[in-house]
Amino acid sequence: MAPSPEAPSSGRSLDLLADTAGAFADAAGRSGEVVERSVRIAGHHIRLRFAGAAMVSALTRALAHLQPADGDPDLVVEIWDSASVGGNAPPSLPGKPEGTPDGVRILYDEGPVQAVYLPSERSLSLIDASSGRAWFWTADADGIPHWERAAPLRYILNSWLGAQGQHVVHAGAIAGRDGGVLLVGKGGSGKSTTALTCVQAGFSYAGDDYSLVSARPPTAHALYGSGKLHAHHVTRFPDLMPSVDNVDRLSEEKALIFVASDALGRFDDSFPIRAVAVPRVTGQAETRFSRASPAEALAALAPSSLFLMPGASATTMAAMADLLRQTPCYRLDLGTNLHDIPSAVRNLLASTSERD
Amino acid sequence: MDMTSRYRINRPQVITEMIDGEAVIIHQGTGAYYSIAATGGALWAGIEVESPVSELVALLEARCEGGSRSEIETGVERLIEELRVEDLIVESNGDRTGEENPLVEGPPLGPFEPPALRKYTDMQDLILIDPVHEVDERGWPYATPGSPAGDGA
Repeated sequence: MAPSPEAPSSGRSLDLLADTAGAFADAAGRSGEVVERSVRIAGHHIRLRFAGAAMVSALTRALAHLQPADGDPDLVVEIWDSASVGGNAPPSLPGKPEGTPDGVRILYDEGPVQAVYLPSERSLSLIDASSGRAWFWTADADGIPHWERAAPLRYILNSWLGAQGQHVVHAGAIAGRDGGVLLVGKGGSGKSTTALTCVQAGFSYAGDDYSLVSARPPTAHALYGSGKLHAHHVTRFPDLMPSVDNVDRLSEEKALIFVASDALGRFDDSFPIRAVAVPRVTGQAETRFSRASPAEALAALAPSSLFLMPGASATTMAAMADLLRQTPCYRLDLGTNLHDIPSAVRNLLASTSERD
Repeated sequence: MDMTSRYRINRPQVITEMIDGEAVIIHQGTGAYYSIAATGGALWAGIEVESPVSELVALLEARCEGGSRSEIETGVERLIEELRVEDLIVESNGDRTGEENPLVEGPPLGPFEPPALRKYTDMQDLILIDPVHEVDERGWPYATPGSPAGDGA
C-alpha cells in the first residue's frame, strides 16, 4: 500500500469530514444496527459499514464475487440513506449551480479530501485518503439508479485505489486460458456484448463497463460482477434473461444482470492483461480482429474513462498509456453471430502468445 | 507569427500522452479529444518542452526529407494556430522547462507532410449532459455568506 497522504489542512475539509462522520453516527444510532461487509479488492481490505439494512442489497450484489477480508481494513466506507433512518443528510449539501444541466456532478478536490455530489440523484461520495475513511450517502435507498447498483461506490473506490496505483477505467475485462483482454471503447461499441458472450463461454469475468486495472504489470482485478445490456439487445441473450434484475423497468433502463450473485460466470481475483481490444459493431456476419496502434486504443479508452470519473487526472491517463505501451492492441470487429465472438477472442489471445 | 514565441500545453484542462510518436490529447473542459502523429506528433513533443516556434521549424526541417523552409514554416504556424483555437495550448511567458527538445533526437520523419490534428467530438455528450462542476474556495462545502445556499437536504 502506498504511504498515506498528508492529513487535510483546510478547515473546510475538516468541517466536511467531521459533519459527515457525525451524520453517519447519528444515522447508525437511529437505525439501531450497523451491517458490515468486508471484501478484498486488488489485495486491499475494504470494509463497508451500513447504517441499517436498506442499502446493503443495492450496493453489494455487484460485489458478491469478491473474496471476504478480515483483520484491519485499509479503507472503511460508511453508508446510509435518509429515507430509511429518518432525515440524516450530511449538513450543507450544495444546490445545483445555476445554469448547469440536471446531470451536473459537483466536485470538491482538496489534497487527500475528495467529494462528488450529484444533485439529481441526491448522493454524496466523500473520501479522506489520509485516514482511509469514506462516506456514501443518498436520500433514498429505493432511488438508487441501476447504473449505481451495477458499479457501486465507484467514485470513492477510484479515488482511493487510484492513489494505490490501481485505476477504475471505462472498459470490460475477461480472461481465457491464455490470459486476459481489456475491452475498450465508448458506450455502444460492443464491450458488454463481448464480455457477456465470453463469460457464457467459460471466460473469467472482471466487468463489462468499469474495470479495475494496474499497469505494472498489466493486470485486471476483480471489482464489479455486473453487466448491462440495452433492453432491445438483451433478447439476444436468452440464457441471461431470467437473471435480468430490472425486467419491469426495461422501457427506461438498460437490463442489469448480476453475473456474480446469480453465479452466471467464474471470477478470478486478478489476471494478466495480455491484449487490449477495441470492439466495434460491424453488421457483418463474422467476427474478425486486426492489429491496432496503442494510440488508437488510448483514444478509445482514455476520454470516456476521464469524463465518467470526476477527479481522474493526468496520473490516470499516464497509467492507461503505460499499460497500453506494454500490451498488443487490436480492433475487434464484432459479427452478428454472437456465438463466434468467444472463439475470435480466444484466437486473438492465442496470437499474442505466438508473438511471445 | 512571432518566431520567438513559445507555447505551453493548457494544463490542467488538457491531458495528453504520447505513444509511438502519436499524441492523444483530451480537453476536459470541452469534451473533445484529438490525435496527432508524424510531423504533428514531433511538434507536439516540442511544444511540451516549450520550444520557440523558430526552433520547432528548424528542427523539423532537419528531421524531414524534402519540404522547403517556407512550407515547413507554414505547416508549423497553421498547426499552432489550430491548437490555440482549440484551446489546447497557450502562449508561455515563463522560463523554459529545461528539458531536452525531443525533436533533436529520434528517427527521421520521412518526407515532410503538413502536420494534421484530428479532432473527435463523439464523447462531448458525456460532458454536456453530466458535466463536472469543480468548486473553488468560494463554493461548497460551506459557502460563504451571500452565496447561493445549499439545499441542506
